[in-house]
Amino acid sequence: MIKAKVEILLIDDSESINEMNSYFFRQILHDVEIITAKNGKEGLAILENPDRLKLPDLVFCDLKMPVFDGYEFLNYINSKEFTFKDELKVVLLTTSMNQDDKERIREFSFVSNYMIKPLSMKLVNHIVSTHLINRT
Amino acid sequence: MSNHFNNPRLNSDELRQLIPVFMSEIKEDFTKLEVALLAGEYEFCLEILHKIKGSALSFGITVLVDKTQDLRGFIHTGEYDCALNERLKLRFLIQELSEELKKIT
Repeated sequence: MIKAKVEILLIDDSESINEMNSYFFRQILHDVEIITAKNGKEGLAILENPDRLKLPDLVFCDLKMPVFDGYEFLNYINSKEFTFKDELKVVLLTTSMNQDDKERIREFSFVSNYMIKPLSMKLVNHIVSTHLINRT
Repeated sequence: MSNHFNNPRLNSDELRQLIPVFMSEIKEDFTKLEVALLAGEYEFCLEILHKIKGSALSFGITVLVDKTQDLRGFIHTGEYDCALNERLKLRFLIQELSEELKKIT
């Protein structure tokens, strides 16, 4: 059972993908706040906003994006500059089926899933039941 | 519902709601792509094509995924004249998708 309001951060340079994924989460989670960012830099600005009281429950991040890509985002989270690494759960959502990418992300302990686009209602259900059910 | 927008993950109402955002984004991206292609900024072209491909994949528009792949292939192999021709096919396809959108919304 999902006991509290869920907050999800979606990071993708495609507005339409963010829209579609937001739609899927809203269909499944009734009390959900979706925040979107169009690159890793915007995503980090949201996470490090001093007015923010807690981290999002889940972060979805694309790998290939302009300005600040998925790896730059992950590397920053992994660095000493970001102090909440252990409290963050990141799901990578990418078109890359490259084995090197899959291997490379293993160094990031906070990455819980590596998923190939597109997201579907079935996958969203799986993610919700894996990461959000029974959380307090 | 048209064939191009026939996405098994979304019903008709959902498509009507989400497809306009997609089309608006694709048109904007395609304009950037044409400018970059004519200016010879091929790395930027590849970035835009990657983005278009991701969106098209998410909306299940496989014909658009294929066209972006073709164009990426020509850029990768340095066949820039072919890339310029292929971009016209992509333009027609986007016009076609846009016409279909008018019918379903």
